[in-house]
This record gives sequence, structure tokens and C-alpha cells, in this order.
Amino acid sequence: MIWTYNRIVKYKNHIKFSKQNIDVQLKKRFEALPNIASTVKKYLSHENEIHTKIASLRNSYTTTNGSEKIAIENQLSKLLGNLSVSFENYPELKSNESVTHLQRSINEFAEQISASQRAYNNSVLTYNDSISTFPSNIVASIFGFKEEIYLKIISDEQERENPNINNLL
Amino acid sequence: MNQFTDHFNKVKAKASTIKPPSSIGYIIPIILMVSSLFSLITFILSFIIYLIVSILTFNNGFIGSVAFFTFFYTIVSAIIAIVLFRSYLKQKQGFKNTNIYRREFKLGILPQIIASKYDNINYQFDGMIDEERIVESSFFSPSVLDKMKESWFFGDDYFSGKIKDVDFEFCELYYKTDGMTTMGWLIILIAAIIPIPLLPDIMVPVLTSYDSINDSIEFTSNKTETEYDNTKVNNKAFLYGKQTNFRGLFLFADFHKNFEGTVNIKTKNRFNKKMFAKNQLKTIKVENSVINKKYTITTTNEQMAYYVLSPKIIDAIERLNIKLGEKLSMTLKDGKLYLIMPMSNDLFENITIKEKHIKVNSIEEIQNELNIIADLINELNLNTKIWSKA
Repeated sequence: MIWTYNRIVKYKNHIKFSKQNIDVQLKKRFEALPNIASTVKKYLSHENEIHTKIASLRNSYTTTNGSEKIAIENQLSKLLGNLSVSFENYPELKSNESVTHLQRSINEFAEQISASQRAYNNSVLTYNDSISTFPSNIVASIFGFKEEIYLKIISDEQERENPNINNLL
Repeated sequence: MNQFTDHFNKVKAKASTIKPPSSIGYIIPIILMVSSLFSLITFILSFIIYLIVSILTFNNGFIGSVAFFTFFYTIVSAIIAIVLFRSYLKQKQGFKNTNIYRREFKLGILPQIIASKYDNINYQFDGMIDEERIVESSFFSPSVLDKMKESWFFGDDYFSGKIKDVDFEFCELYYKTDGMTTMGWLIILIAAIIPIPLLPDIMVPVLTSYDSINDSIEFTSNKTETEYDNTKVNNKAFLYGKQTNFRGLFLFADFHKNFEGTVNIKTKNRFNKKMFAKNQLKTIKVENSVINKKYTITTTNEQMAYYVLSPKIIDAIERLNIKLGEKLSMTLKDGKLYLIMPMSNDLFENITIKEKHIKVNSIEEIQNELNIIADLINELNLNTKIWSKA
């Protein structure tokens, strides 16, 4: 019983660890926002709204908490995902090194965040399995362990909304 | 093209003259072994009766003769059966390793087929991927008992170069060991437990008489084509001798993502127990039940593993699994890909040895085998460079 209890607690702690890792990845992307905004301002000067939107999201991010923060992160993911696609509309930018670097950075952030979310879901799966299977479910019910909820991950470009940035803004 | 036609016609003509060993070769030893067992039972029974009769009366001559005869027959028939059976296995092994104008094919025909299919690819028929790379792939991590054996790699059909801007190396690989098998150690252990003064150093020469079957018999009469190539023989050791632990293909390529750490994707298929030692890495599951069922995925870093194994890569592994078989295994280490897959037949050969006959391969079949390299690179999307890999 002690062994089972400790095992479940370890799995629960691992979920917390995975959650922290998502925060770390999101923070990395957030810290890169000024660079992204300046590149957009420099090369897409006629797309002023993008720059404004990024700056606005950045300001909102620092002043909000909890579910609002998650909503901002989702908006940011969509914006950056579609920003990458919008570069395709400007063929003259494709060969620009800064733009290419920016596109790679955005992809990299997206992949790292997606990876951390998948790692989180794997932790949740392990934990949920441990509290719902016999005989450890008896220990779980005695100590009141509850099932954790999986994150919904958007990792595929096809799942993103309309890639036209003008429509997005 | 005439050169190709001439070669394959010559190979077909030679192949039609080569026959596998007759099945009588194993039927007679089986009959002898069965009769030997029957004789052994008769001997035990007659010997017991002989002992009982000896106590009761002095008239036991007939039963004694029966016991003596059956004992003698058991020993002699068992020895003859073993000798005949080993002879049959040697002939069969020799048939399986038949070479017909192989050197001419490998040095003259195959390079031309490769050149017609790929640009910028180097081919060496007797080359092999650097052994250091093979070892760092961590596929061939021996168990404690295997570490006591001599082990070595042998490779051929080595390809290197670029396909779609992806640097790669590819070869057929053999991993062999020489020494006492687990069964051999078990017999020594039993011998040591039973108080018989038999030490391992005395047992080894005894067990060596049951060495692996690895003799190659040359069937072709053309002496210029004689190739006694024991390295390519698929050795099977029962108690002591050479053992082929892996025979298949090995791919080393640049992975399209930059990362530090290791992800092992190892098949749960039975063959891996011979070579994959257990590691202390963390096991993870992915969002694909087929992959979770057929593979064990372990890693040094969970976050990095999910970064490397994107959903697209997972789907690609599943497709390769369907296309090439579930024995495929991969290691992703510090931005590099190592992939192995065991094969029952040699690739890129002019003939394939079947159970009862020799099949001459067509140029199309050889070209299809050459597609494997490009398929692996395309399926795993290795040409899509990301981040610092540009």
C-alpha cells in the first residue's frame, strides 16, 4: 500500500514537472517576441497591424493570470503560426536571412512547445492509468486522487485557422 | 545491356545445375535416432530383468545377450545418426551460401545499376560503415555472457553519399560472436553441480566438437569463381562456436533536427533479445498505439524525445513498419540517425537461395532493393532541414 501510494505521488509530481516544462518553453517564446516584432516591423512595415498585435499580446501577457494567460498563449500560437505562413505571400522575403531565421525560430518554438505538451500528456496518461487500474485504484480512492485532464495540442499546420494574416487581424 | 544479359544467362545456366541436398540426408538419421531410442528402452528393461533373473537363477545367458546387443546398437546407431545429420547440415549450409559469378556481378554489373539510379553515390562491395559509428548506435550492447565472447562486425555492399542533400552511409552488416553459448554454460553448470571433475577448460574442447555449422561448400566447378566466404555464413552455435547475432542492413544519416541526447526506438520482436541489452533510460509512450505495441521507446530526456519524435516522424515509422517489417529499429543520437533492420536474405545479389532451388534475380528486383535507401530517407523526411540544421 505504501509502495502504491508513493508511486502515485511520484506520477503526480511528474505531471507538475511536465507542466513547469511547458511554462519554460512558453517563456522562451515570450522572451523572443521583441525580436520577432522587430523583424516584422522591418520587413513587413506595410503590415503594421501584426506588429501592433504582437506588442499588445506581450503587454497583456505580463498583466494577466490563469485562464486569460492560456487564452493569450493560444492567440499567440495562432498568430505566430500564421505569420510564418504569411511570409510565403512575399516571395522577395523568402531569401532574406533574417526572415528565414525568424521562420525557423517560430517553427522551433512551436515544436518545442508541442513536445512539452505531449510530454505532459504522457505524464497524465501514466498517472491516470495508475489511479484507475486495479489494485492501485483502491489506494487512489482512499487518498482521494482524482483524474487529471489532458491538454489539447494543435501541432499540425493543417489544423490552424485561415493562414491569411489579414483575415486573422 | 548485352553485358547484363550475358551475365544473367550465364548465372541461370549455372544455377540450374545446382541442387539442394537430398531430403534422405535427414530422414535416415531420424530413423536411426528413433531406433536408437527404442533400443535404449529395450536395453534398460532387459538389464533390469537380467539383474532380477541373476538373483533368482544362474540361467540368464539369453537376456544378458539381449542387453549387451541393445546397448551396443544404441551407442553405434546414435553415433552414426549424429555424423549423418551433421553431414546433411553442412551440405545444406553450403547450398545456402552458394555463389555464382558473384565477383563479376558485384564489381561489374551492380555498380552500373547503381549509377543508373543514383547520382553522387559511392559504392564499395566489400566496404563497411565505420565500426565506431556502429558501436555508438547502441544496438549491439552485449549481455554479461556475451561480453565473455569474442565479437566482431563484418559488412559489405557499402554505399555513401547524398540523396536529396542528406548525407548518409548504408551497408549490409553482420554481427558475430565466438564462444560459449548460454546452453553451453548451462551444461558446464550442471556438470559442476553433479560431482564430476569436469572443469570449463576441459569441457571447452569437448563442446567444440559440437561447434557451429559454418562450412561453405562450393558448388560451382569454375575454379576462377571459387569463393569460400565464411564471413557471410549465417552461423548457429548450439553449445560453443561462432554465432551470427545480426544480419541485415544498417543506415547512418544526418537527422533533420538538431538535438543533444539519445532516443532508442527498439522493436519488441524476438530477435532483439540476442543483442539489445537493457538500459536505464526512461521509457515513454507516443500517441500511436501501433508503435507503442511494437516498439519500446527509451530516452535520456523526455522533452527532447517528443521534440525529435514529432507526430510526422511517428507516422513515418508506422509506414516503414508496414513496408519493411516490424524488426526495424532506430537510435536517434545527437542529431544523427542510426537504423537497423535484420534481413533473412542478402541484398543486392544476383541470386537468392530458396529452400529447394536457386532463384536468379532480375535487374528490376535489384533496383527495387536499391529503392530501400531512398525510401528510408524520404519517409523519415530527413531532407527537411529545421533550425540550425540548415
